[in-house]
Amino acid sequence: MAPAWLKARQTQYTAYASVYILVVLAVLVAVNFLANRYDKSYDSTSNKQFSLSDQTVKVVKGLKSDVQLTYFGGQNEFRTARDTLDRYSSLSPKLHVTYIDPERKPQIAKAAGYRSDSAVMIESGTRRESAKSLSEEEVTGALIRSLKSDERTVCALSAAGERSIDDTDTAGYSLFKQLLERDNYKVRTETLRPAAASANKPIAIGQAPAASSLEIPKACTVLVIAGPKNDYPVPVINALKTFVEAGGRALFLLDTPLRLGDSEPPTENEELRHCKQRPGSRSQRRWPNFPARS
Amino acid sequence: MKNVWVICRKELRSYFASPIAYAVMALFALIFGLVFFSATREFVNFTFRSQMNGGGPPISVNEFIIRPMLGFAGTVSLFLIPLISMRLIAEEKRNGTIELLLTSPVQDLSIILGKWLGAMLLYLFVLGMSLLNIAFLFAWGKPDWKPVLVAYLGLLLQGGCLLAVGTVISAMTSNQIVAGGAAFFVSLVLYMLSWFTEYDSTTASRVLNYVSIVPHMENFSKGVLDLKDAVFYVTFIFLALFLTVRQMESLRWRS
Repeated sequence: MAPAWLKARQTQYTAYASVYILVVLAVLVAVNFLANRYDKSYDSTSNKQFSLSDQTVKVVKGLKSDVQLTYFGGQNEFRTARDTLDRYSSLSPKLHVTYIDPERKPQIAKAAGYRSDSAVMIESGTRRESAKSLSEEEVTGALIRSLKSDERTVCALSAAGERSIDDTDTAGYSLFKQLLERDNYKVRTETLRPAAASANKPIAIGQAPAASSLEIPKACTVLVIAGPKNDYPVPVINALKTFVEAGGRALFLLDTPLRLGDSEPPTENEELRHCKQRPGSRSQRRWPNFPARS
Repeated sequence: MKNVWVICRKELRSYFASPIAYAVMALFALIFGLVFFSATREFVNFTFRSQMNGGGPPISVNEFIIRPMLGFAGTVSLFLIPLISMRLIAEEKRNGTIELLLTSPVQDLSIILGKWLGAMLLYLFVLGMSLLNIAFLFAWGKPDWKPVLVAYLGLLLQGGCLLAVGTVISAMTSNQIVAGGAAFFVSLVLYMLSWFTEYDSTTASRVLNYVSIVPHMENFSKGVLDLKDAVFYVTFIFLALFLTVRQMESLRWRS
């Protein structure tokens, strides 16, 4: 037998009203959820001030995995940042925006990849890209870069006494390596290896390489030649030339010729001079001016 | 629908028969006028300074004056709307006329809708006071008119939410002061929720921020008509009025 209060009219009406309210509440929550999920907006400003370009819309709507967008700035700047970043987050539920004040929350900011030169950090999977300002060009550019899955490798040549990217001394380029790695580049030292499978030993400094048998791996997006102390032998020059002619990019960093205590700088090789005189091709050849031996 | 309109007109008349309508309109006009003066003066000073420094990019009247001003109007309405909504049903209860209404051949929904629409029309008149200031901007400047319309639509929807909340609370008590105070408190909570949660990324913060009425006004004040914001306001109004109807209905079976 049910208790009397359960049969009372008031109890029944209360239960009925409660269920009714809960059902309506659930429906309204669902409607709001769907409106958020399939949000549409109309920018009524004459210059479409609060609209994103078609390119940005295409990129953001096409996101397949979660992307974290973190804005770094003072709390009084958050509102301005929202004007821009809300337009991104409203396009896709996969894009999440977080606002961090680095002065108030330094630890969280550091963990989120805060850099003083970046307003926005975009994280997609393991990749992090920064946008220097809140402009759409910067933010979308960084977003596109963060979505690229191809690996970019910077190879530092080690064949003629170049500066080492692992050297933490003042003469070393370890900081350069750190900066590159922060921008999602893989950095490695490249000791030119023979093209032939039989001769798979790397060529050490001062060791004479086998003629015409060296090659620079195609995985190198950029080859950095940082301050060679000795002349490159012909096979190395040929390898460099082949690499650049095939579309590879090389960055030469040369020390000033007159430094007390240093050994004499390498001579300008005729082959390299030849390459330098033919700039502007598709592969962006840019050969440095090797200082001539006086 | 005819009953709704009859009750709406009766409600509006009763507002103008008492000092409430005039007091609310005068207060709003005074505060809005002060803000308008301050914003316009700042704009003119900024323009002069900019010209003295060799000029700069063109300054938008919409962004510099209208947007913050209409945003502020939303804040002012937080204080004024409880004054409008407190008497909606509480007065009927206090005067003993609620029984007449409940036993009349009019649906509860029509009564609630009529009263809420009457309050909305008064709020529309209150907002209308600000049009005089906006007209000055159009007379001497070239503001973009579409964002202004969208911002006013947002103000109306936001006001509709607060009025609907006030209607529910008014239906719960026969004391107008209690109704007004409680409506103000709930409105303040709905307003302040976003202060603490706006930039937090936890799920709870996001939900609380979404429930707050302020963030949804942001897009409207910019001139951006956003589906999710409009849906939020409409569903909020619907829920509050639905709860009012249930509250009215409960008066029958609780007695």
